[in-house]
Amino acid sequence: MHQAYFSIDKAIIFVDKYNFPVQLRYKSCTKKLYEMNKLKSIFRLSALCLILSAGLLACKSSKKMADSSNTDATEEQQEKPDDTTVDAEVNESNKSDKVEVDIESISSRLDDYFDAIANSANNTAKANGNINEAKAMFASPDVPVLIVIHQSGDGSKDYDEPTTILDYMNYLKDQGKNLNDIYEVKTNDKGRISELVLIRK
Amino acid sequence: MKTMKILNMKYIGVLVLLISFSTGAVAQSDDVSPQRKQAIDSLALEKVRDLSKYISIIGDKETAYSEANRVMDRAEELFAPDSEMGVSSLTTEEIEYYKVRKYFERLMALNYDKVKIDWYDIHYISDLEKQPDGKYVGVVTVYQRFEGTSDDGLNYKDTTKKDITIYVEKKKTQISGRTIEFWDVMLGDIRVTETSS
Repeated sequence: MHQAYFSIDKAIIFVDKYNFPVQLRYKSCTKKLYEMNKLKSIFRLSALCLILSAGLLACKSSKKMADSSNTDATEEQQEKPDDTTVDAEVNESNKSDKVEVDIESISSRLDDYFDAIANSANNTAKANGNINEAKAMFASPDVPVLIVIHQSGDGSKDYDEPTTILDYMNYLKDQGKNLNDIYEVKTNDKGRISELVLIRK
Repeated sequence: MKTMKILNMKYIGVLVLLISFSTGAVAQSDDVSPQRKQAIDSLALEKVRDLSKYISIIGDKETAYSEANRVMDRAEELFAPDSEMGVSSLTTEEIEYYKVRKYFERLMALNYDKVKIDWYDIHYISDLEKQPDGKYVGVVTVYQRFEGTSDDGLNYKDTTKKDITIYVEKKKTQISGRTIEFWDVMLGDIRVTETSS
């Protein structure tokens, strides 16, 4: 009669009357049980690593689309402050540095200028006159202009190549069409436009 | 033996599932929805229309020299480096190819008193498709009507069909200290496919 003993991994090992494991009969089974346990541990470890990497990748891909202050810029456009011209909108009786601006009024005026420039494309002198008038609303001719071509339901935006306000107004003059609405206007302390975001109509 | 096989299959199955989830997380960030794709298609087509207007301005003898030069600069910016424009004629079967800047300069210098160039029927013949390197490539075809007239009676008119390769790529730039991603549309070579009167 063989007696039964449990090994560490709870496999049943039979022993003969001399307490020797019956290796001839169950040797391959024990070895395979041991290998299976080893394999189980490897699989558990691999699964854990994959879960962690999947989580990291998901975080990385969501972070990829977010705005960041990346110092390794491929291109850089900087606003040049306009310190040389007189600000016509400053209230002379108000001696404070910051000027209150009516964004809605600015947007409406700007939109009128853009339409006027596009509609006077056949008259270069008139178009240039409108461009010069509109330019006075901006901090500089290099003020960045972003154009949104598509806005997703989650609020993410797709942009055309950014340009400057002078280039954009010349584009309106050349093409004779205004395809965009004003989406966002940012102004500086002097009430001049420092950044413009447009959106496809 | 059978139990071990089943357990092995189970673990392999779990591994395969996890690998596919992790690759899926990466792939999702590159997906473009149909609406976004349509916006990109429209953007690229608009650049071709912009070019047609620039060519019309450059060729127009009424355009001032300074304006023509400014417009040539803007038109050149639409192209990928080393792009070429095909030029054909009814008088010869040969098609000449010039670098775009050279083409614009020759266009401005044409010896007519009046030049009229119109592009029409601008449409995709090959939709923008994503390449392995992430760029989108497509082909747009245009019909160009050219009319050149001189006071001394020199007249030339033709219609050419041209194919334009378009490249679209997502790029990044810095605006006011923040990173903005945008779709960069570049026009490639413009090849003549048909010439008729």
